[in-house]
Amino acid sequence: MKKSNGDNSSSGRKKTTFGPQLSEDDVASIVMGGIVEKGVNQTVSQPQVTVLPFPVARHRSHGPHWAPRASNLSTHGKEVEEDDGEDTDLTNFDLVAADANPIKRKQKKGLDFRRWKELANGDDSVLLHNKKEHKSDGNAKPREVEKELNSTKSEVVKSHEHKIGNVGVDDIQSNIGNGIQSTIKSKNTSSHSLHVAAGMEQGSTSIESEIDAENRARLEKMSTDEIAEAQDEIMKKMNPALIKILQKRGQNKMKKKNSIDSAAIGSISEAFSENNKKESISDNAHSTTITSQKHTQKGLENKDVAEVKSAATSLWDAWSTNVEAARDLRFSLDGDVINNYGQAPGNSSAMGTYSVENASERDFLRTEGDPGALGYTIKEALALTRSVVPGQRSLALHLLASVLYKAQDNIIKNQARSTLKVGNQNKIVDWEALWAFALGPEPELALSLRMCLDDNHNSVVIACARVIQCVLSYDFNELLFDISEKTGIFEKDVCTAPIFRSRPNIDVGFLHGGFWKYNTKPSNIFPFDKIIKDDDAENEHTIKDDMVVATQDIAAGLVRMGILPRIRYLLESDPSAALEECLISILVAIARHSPTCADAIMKCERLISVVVDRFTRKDQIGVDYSKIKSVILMKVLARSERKRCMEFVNGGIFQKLTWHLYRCAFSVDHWMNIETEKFKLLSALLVEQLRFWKVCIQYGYCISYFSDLFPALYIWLDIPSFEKLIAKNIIQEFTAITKESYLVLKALTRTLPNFYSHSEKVDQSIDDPMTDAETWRWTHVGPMIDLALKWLSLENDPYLSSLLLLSGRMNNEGLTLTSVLWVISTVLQFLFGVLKSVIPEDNSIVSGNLPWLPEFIPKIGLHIIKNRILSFDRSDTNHAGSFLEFLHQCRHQSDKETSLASVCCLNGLLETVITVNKLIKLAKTDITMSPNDHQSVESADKILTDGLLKCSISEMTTLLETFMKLTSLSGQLMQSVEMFGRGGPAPGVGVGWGAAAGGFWSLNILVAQMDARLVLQLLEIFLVESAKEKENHTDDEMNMTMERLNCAFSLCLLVGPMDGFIMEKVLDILLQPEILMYLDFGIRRSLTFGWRYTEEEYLMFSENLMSHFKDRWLHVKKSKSKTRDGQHGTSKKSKFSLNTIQEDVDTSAHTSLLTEWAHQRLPLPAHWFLSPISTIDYTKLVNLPVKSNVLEVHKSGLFFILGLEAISNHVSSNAYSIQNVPVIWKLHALSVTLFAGMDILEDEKTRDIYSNLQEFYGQILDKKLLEVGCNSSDFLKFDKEIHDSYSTFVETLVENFAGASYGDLLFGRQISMYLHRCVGAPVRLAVWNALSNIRALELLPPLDKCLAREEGYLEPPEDDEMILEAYVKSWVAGSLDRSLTRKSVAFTLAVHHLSHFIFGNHSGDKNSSRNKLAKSILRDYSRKSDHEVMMVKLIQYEKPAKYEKLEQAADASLQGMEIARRLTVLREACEGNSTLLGVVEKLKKVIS
Amino acid sequence: MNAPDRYERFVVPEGTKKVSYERDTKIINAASFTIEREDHTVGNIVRMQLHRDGNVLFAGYKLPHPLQYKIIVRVHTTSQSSPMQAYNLAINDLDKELDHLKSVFEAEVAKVSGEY
Repeated sequence: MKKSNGDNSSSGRKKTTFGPQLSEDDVASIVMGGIVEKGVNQTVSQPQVTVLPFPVARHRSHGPHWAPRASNLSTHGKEVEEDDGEDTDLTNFDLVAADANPIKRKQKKGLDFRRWKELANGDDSVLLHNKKEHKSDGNAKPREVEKELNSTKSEVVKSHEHKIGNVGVDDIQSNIGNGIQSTIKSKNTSSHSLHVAAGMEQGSTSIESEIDAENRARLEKMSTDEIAEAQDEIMKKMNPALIKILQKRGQNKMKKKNSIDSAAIGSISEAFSENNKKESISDNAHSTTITSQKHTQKGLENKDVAEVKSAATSLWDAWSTNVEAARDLRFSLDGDVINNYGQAPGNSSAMGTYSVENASERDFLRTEGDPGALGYTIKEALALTRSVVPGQRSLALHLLASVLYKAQDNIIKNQARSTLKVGNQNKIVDWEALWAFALGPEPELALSLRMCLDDNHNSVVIACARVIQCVLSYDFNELLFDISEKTGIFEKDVCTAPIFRSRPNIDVGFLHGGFWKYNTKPSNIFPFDKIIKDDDAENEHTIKDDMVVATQDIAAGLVRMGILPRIRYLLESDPSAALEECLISILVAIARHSPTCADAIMKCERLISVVVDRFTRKDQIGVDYSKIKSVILMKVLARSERKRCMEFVNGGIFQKLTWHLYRCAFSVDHWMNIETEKFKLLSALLVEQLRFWKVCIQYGYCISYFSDLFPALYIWLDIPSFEKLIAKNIIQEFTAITKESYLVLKALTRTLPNFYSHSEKVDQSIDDPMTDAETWRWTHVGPMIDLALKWLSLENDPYLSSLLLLSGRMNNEGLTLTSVLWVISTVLQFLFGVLKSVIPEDNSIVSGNLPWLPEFIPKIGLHIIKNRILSFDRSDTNHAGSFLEFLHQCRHQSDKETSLASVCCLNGLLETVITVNKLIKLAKTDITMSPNDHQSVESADKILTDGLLKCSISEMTTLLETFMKLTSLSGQLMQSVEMFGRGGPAPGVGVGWGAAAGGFWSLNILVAQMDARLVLQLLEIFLVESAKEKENHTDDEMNMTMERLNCAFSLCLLVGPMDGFIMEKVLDILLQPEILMYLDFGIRRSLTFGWRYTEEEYLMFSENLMSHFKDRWLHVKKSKSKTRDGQHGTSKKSKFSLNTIQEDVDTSAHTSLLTEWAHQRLPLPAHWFLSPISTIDYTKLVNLPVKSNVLEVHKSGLFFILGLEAISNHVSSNAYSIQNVPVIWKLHALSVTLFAGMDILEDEKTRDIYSNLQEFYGQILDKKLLEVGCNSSDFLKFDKEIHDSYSTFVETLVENFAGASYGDLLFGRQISMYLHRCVGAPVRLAVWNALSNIRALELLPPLDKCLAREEGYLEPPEDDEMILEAYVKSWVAGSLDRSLTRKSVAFTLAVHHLSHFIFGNHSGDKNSSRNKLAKSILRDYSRKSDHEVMMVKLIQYEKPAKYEKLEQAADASLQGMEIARRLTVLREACEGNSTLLGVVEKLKKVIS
Repeated sequence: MNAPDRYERFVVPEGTKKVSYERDTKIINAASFTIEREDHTVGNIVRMQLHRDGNVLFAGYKLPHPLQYKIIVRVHTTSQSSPMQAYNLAINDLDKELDHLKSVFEAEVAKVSGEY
């Protein structure tokens, strides 16, 4: 139903784009165009992009995004449809059939128009074309038509519905219906933009028109002779009969077209007023008669296409081509692509016999040979899952599973991310596109999977379970989650549900990076109430709803279609081991999807108990994968909510699932006797059980179990005898358990009461029913530390030292190294955890005031010193190479996991060292050691008292430098997450978002984030140090600090949704008053800046910015209580109440260990730092009593940004910095600051900063202009890149300027920036018109005071006729009068461009418009004699050779010959009009 | 629901002046006039009349908020004139012009109605 809607509407739309063009062309061009498209170039075999490219950028709920293949493939949909059966093109048979099906048309009656409206709202550029039809001759008056259309819109809607059956008229009607919306839509973007918009539409939407455009462009370049020659050539190549047919068809079409056009317009205009009808008919007739002239105009337009097409659209085009290409890919049974199935044209008829519908027939028809050899497309495989033969069904499912698996595998592997750029030419399979296609908006996959799960053949069910597992990307997600859990740093899991960003609004200055939202509403996933009272809901709940949900989010769709009860049933019916494993995997994947889905699992009756039952009932000793996965499932569920965890503990589920842990109290030898294979399984199970326990501990439960479990744990915590492990080849498994045990210990340290607090804090927490009073005891800690330190005794243990120290290093296998590194990193984390609870809570304790230091602290410190973990300058002369250095090298290994492990180690090490250092400093007592420690290192205690950090400073510095490079290189990584404005191209889960190389769900980002943490720690040390020293810096030091600052800044981009607190930390560091002072130094260095700031001001800046940034970017939206629409209100309300927000964050941390993407803004967009100046405060406008510090924030923001700009100038590395942010955003942000008023410019200091920023950005603009060169100049497309309705924004800005600014210079500068040649024509035109209407042109500053260099405004000469017309209009209307006397940039621009256009050398095509403009200026002069000066200026204007001294150049005007020539030009332009000729004579007298 | 009463749009509240004058503190010869209970109708025409004055450097108005029924006219003049003077001049001229328009219209009406 839905699909058929989509296909008809979009094919209808296709016709609208293509139809009018054909009607206007002569026969020859049709033949020409036809020939090229018909496949001489074989364009037919290539997939075609539709009007609506796949998938639509907004929300998935907007329905099917591309028409079925039938209508896509027909490059000439019109032709096919109107052909009276003479079409000899064999390939198009089925296409015609699909289009000509009348029954489908009637079906869509009711919904049809609504959909259009939706689409129209979505993408107005597509729809603007119809206006072009009206406008194209300049006779019609679109504004009038528009008004009338407006008023009669509803009537049209009605009439449209009535006549929908009337096939002939139908198309055109829809055409006009479209037009109405487009006109309404485009009311803001004034009618002048038509020309370009029409061009855009062609460029961005269809390749057909691109091909067409190319052809036409080439045609235009060719001379008539050449054309004739080419025609001959083609004729020769072709069969004469075919040519005849083509010609005939072309003629028919011309006839038909004309008749239909006029008939249709006639009939439709009955709904309109009489005169309107006449106008449009005559208009139409006119357009069909003019042919040759039209032709040239076409050519012009096509040039525009190439220019206007921005990089984004071409990327989009490439992407949609690739996705469509996936439709035709054929796969063998094991998922490989079959390339040589014979795509040659000759073979195509044979191919045609196997279509999606009859895929199942083929194996009956071809019993001999290999029926599968031809392969299957995805669609065919899906069709095959509905076969009557069970074998075929499972075969198809196996095929799907392997294809999907392969796709994901390749997505993850493909790090180069090049497929998009390569395009489709060299037959590389774009797996991302394939994945997106498979999951994409056509819901077949989800539906067939759901149906197959209900199959009564076991083999089919199990195959289906496999496919579902693949669709949910279980394997790849789990791999990532496993590793991120190994790091022990991320305490929370992330939800995998697909998400998208909410659209930016004006409140935040259109700044991107809004809150994430789920692709599908949580309430849609699992309509609880409906499930409960099933009978009532029956009539409401339809399969269509399910389909919609499934297209938005495949996992949610499956849950909605009741996959959970089915899984429960399957589990209850005693499935095979393999099926059980698959089913539980699916459950895990669903549980990870989102809190709602986890809820759904919990609420599905008996599901949990079935899983637990199966876990306990089976053979107690044996371990299999489904047991492991059951534990994972429980762990994931427990993580998602605290209450659920409590249920598990109290209900005995936890105990049932973790009893293996108790069994471990055997000797090591016992373990050694277990078979290797069994041990591996057991180890995996134990690891998961420990993790489950860890989750409980994190919530504060089950802490007392420690004493029971300790004997078992002891085996793992101690250092094993490595020889035995190596002999048995179980070292990895063994260390995995060790690592997990230490992580459990680390979690336990969290519950330790503070070492120094004697008052019982416990009382307080008893009041809270949620917190359990259990805590760990310090008496347990001592022995644990001893055990932990054993792992750090690199010197004493020969195996460890051989493995981990550079000096004694042999070539070891990487895997062992990695696992040992993981253990050490967790050991260090455990130590850090202990140390952290020693740090007194009381901040008042200054150094030396700590009463006493527990013994283990110096012990840890000494251990670090003795074991060469750090290298200290003095002690290590004989053998170089510390553990730290070793880790440093490991980071650069190719193996991702090893490098991750080493960075984790480094992190842990640094944390430990820093805390030990801090504690010793706090205590400053004599370090008491047991005598046996004393003997080895004499200088050790000296190092301790001096401070561990200070002694190893050189090592730390090198570490910082390398890692700074690493992070700044990966700064862009996160940005790829948002390709096409959403989390990823496909609606899968986690890795299944299908973003390049896994996007956010890849190890790359994990490693980068780890690096970032490390750098942050180091920066914290160094920046704070250098900030403390103040003043007296050498240049080198300054540069280094600036480099570091810049690095801290770029760190922010790596912050993912899980670690908002890193962002907070970065902000804390970056916005300290001392650091802001550095920015001030930086500003002073790069420009003369007269103001000095006081300490208080820095403090104020820091406070303002801190609260602003945290509020703006880190604020997590509370979802449940508020409706979606309430978002606006909440974000606004909370703007000024930071305290409450922090409380929110805290409470959520206690109740759940799950982070959602939704409701927050991280990761940040590249231009996040602009937020303080691009926030608009409406409260001031309305004079509400709300006290706001927005103005202060603006001021602070301006200072901060100028500071960043200044220091980024000094940074040598070419890494990410503020300079990489496109200048368009910066310019825009400056405008937004003025949007709500110009208070900001009243403060002198801020005014200075503002003007400095303007100059800065002007320079950047100039630089950019030099880079791109003169030809592709309009790269500032505000309307495309920032917001669709940018012209409205700019009009308001102009209103403010004209209404309240007193013609302020800076404001004027900012406005005149929009007249720069780099600005896209629509916005430029909108600004000019707004200024002209409101008589503010004269308020603009002179050209030499504008930002950026002068020629940027003047070169290249204007060729957009709309803008030239606008210049003339203002000239005639007199709004330029005062601009002359005031030397405003407006007059300079108008004179420059007009004189070039009128007097310059043009080829003939522009003559008419030139004459028109010249005439209106002359006519105006004849009426207003005071325009004489302007007129003379125009004629005498000479293009200056240099633009710097424009003032003088303007005075040195032309003389003699040239003037005479120009007067002749004017005379010619009069076209014999005697009054105008008289005016020219008068002018001549005046000039001479 | 919360919309102000309709009469708020044109009834000047008691104790409020129809037009108030406020000099700009930063710029010489600049001032803003707040005209209560008026909108674009008056704002636009006054602005355009001010534009005709050669001594006026800047003339603009704005409607601060759609639900605040007042406009703010800002004027900046050369030293030969003053905002107050320019404003008065503009108002007087407009007055005359409108009077003229009225009289011409009435004359025309009288003429036409006389004919029939």
